Amino acid sequence: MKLPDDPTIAALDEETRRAIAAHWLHRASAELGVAVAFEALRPRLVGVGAAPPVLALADKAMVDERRHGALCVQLAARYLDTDVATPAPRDGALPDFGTGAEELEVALLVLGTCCINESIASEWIRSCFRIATAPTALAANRAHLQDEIDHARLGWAHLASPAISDALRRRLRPWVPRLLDVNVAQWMKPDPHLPREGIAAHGHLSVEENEAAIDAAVRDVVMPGLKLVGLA
Amino acid sequence: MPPQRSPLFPAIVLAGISLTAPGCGNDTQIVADDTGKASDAKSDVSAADTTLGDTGSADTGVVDSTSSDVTDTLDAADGCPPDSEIPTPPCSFIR
Repeated sequence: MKLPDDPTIAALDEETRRAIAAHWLHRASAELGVAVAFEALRPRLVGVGAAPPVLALADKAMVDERRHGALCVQLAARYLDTDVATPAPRDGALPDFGTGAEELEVALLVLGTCCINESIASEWIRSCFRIATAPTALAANRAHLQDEIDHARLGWAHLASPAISDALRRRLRPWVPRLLDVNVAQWMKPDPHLPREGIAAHGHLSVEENEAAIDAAVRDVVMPGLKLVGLA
Repeated sequence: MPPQRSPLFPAIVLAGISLTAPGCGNDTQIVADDTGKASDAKSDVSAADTTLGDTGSADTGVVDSTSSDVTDTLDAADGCPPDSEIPTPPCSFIR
């Protein structure tokens, strides 16, 4: 991706530039890990009879996440004003919920990864975009948001599809509150690389803005979605 | 300060559901259409974000719960392990 010229980066002090670069390198590793996760999820979606649109979104997600990883490395390099090596993917192994039922396992993976986490990610990125003024941050968050929305859609498309029977939906329902709780708790953790007050111009939320974005995502997107697909 | 609201429900949930279950959420879709934000949800999101501050324009009117309602409406679960034993799926932004 060609990033726009951005004189605001050179105006930052070195500590701030290093902090932002550290954030993007961490993100790069995470994005590449999620690519691995989608690669592992795709054949399991096939195995449980996922609908063609869901599989198409899974195919897109793998490619998107790899591209996001490369973009994050590019962003780190820009803030450090030097080349940086691509980090290893963070562990992208899919968790095992221990149910012993593949249809339920895949539905839980989709619920957690896409309906909850990618929906939250979309609102979180939108919030980052809203506060950003630096050209680089605006371009990066716009590019990320356009794709993350599709990754979230994958989840809602699958949970609304005939691949989720009424019986499976009943088995899924008890998991929803706790899956939501444990994932939201992860999102609420402050970014260890960034100051608590955030770096607004460059699209980094304060701790309070981070919490507000997550609250909004859960309240306005995830919960109404869960109700619509009969899971809340 | 009023709580932040997300306008992404039509773009994410309704658009996603419409891919595999076109009849699901029809009533909600109509509400969303009234806002002019559901016909091409993804491009609408891009447009809204490009103009910034447009957070309320895609309000579907179907979301009226508060943050505390989110947890209040989730009844205690049965048949699944305690929170400490539930693994978290990977996500790009989890710390």
